Amino acid sequence: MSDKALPESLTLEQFESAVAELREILGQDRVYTDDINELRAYRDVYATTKDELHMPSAAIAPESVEEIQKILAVARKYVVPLWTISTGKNFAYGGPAPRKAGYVVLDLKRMNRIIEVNEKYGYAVVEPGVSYFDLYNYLQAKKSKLWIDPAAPGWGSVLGNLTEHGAGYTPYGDHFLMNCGMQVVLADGSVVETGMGSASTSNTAHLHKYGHGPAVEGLFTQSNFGIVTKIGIWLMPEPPGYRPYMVTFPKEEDLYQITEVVAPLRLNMLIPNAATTVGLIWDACQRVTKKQYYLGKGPAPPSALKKIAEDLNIGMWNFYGALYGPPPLMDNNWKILEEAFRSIPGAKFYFEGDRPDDPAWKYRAQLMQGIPNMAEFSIMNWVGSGAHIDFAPRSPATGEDAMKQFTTIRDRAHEYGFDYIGEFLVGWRELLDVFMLVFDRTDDEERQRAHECFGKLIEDHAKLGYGEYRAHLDFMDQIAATYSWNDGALWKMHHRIKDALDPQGVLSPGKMGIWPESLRK
Amino acid sequence: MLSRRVFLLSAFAVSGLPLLTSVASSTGYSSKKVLVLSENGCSDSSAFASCLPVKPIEADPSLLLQELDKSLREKEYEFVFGLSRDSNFVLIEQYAQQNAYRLHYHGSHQYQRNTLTHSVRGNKEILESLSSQLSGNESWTSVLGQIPTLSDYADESMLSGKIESIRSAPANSSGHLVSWLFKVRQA
Repeated sequence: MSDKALPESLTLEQFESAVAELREILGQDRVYTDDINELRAYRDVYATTKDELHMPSAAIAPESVEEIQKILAVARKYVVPLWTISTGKNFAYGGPAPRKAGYVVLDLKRMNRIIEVNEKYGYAVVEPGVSYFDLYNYLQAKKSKLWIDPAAPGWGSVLGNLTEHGAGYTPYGDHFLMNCGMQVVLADGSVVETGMGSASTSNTAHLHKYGHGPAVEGLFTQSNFGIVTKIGIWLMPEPPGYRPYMVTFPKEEDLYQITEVVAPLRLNMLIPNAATTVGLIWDACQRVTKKQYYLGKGPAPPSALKKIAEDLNIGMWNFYGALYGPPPLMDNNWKILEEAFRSIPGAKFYFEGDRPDDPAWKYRAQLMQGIPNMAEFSIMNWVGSGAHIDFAPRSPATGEDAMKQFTTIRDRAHEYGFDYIGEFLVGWRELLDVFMLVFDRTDDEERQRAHECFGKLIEDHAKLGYGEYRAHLDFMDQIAATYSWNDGALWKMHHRIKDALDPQGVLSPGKMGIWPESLRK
Repeated sequence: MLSRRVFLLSAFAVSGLPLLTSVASSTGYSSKKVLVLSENGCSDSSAFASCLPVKPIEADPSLLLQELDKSLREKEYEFVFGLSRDSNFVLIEQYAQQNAYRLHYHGSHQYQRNTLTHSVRGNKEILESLSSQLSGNESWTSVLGQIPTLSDYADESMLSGKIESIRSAPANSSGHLVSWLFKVRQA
């Protein structure tokens, strides 16, 4: 017990007393304290740092709001830092691991009820433990005509992904935008329903987002101001037609023109879903590994990439999109899209049935149709025992910005010996670059190098004016510091809210760089 | 301790049947329930699959993982054993750990030019057995098949070893596979 990570402010005796009280609430089998047999499930398997830095002291798994309220009373009494997770599958950003060693993980996976699916109005109400697979399987069993919008890994929590500002690949891909209604337990144990749900006779809690007064849902996303225990999420009605397509482009510099072509089509909603331009290695990892093309150290050279492109019949960039709607509408839209893409020399077009043996096509087509899967983890095999942390900056959706982001990240990655494995998504008006920094998780030196590289990328992008929208545990403070306008006014406001709602700082201290007063010194 | 032959004959069911069967109580195991998983689509894992009745791991492991979660939650198997790409090991490990299964053996098998290197962790008996057999000419994937028979609840140690052999990667090899064994934690 002497080496056990403990909450900073607690003695071993106090910790054991708190655990005893938690066991009275949850029973023996939902309080986990054994470092080897139980708490290894709460480590960040893709960490760039040592496990000890994020080792929890315990984990607890409530099944109801009432149990959470009782847990909070114990947390306030002993000042136990609780790190809330839904299913803990936010890999590349820390997974189930807490921000600091010694925290108690509040694991909500057992709160896994699908409370309502409304077929007529197209929404679901779910608890934190409901995964994309759970909701998809439920809808399939009910022969529902509603689609879900899964994140790329289908094992993740619907609620967790939404509250982390996650995204999917159907027209309902901006998950927080599709939120309507939220239940939150505050640090003092009080329970709040947001929006129309707070009206005592409400029948529109999941139909209208705002209600009367401030819309506060955003305060409980990417934050530590409360524990979200239920959300309403709008679901897309199955369209009368669906046609996925892929367009490949042969040259790295084509990214400029692709982005210029796609941005107005997306803005005008001729491309209705998250239009994704996928880099060569990202796509190739579904079928090959680096070793099959390059045995040297450092990034794969251009000659290897060219050979992969030839062998797999893919481009240096591969655009995935889909048409949705009645067939005549899709026919008309395709004429416009095809003409636009044909303006880029070397563009090749693929449709359903053209790539029967290409798993990359298959899983992309599924994602754009709302079918959850786990295929994307193949990317980790690029380097053998691969792991990744994701760097996700946003910029205007222009060719110039796309190339600037791409070359900045690629060059920095190469400097540190890593490959560029990335994709670009055009939102309505912005461009999101997801760069997977893939490293060998069994190589301590490489993990350290990946860590340093990531920190440099944040610095690089801050200088260029690009902010990241999400962060791994280890980089939350660094990224928060880049949101520094007006002497850091936004984070100062966050801290005032934190102090008001959670004066003892028991809820996820340090989440997104928001710390309670006692830990801000 | 079971002999390898007895174990293979009795513990693994034939393809198409549930992967569980009873072993005589005199062996120390009243019943031995084993699930064996193998990556689909590469020649080494195909060779492994030809030795044992396996459930294949498809390019998208979604369905397998959902079934696995359910069966591990219900403690349907005492052992989960397999040969896979590393990405799938990581996923399976998540479900194993959260359902009270613990890693008792791990092997990393990497081709580099004409050398196949096995980096293995397991108890003393596993290490000694693999060391004596993996450096020879015997099919390495069939040698792996005995690992569950060498696992012992009483021996929780995880020693490390490295074994090299001269061997070229088969034509469709990814160059790197991992083998692993999870055992349900004794209450």
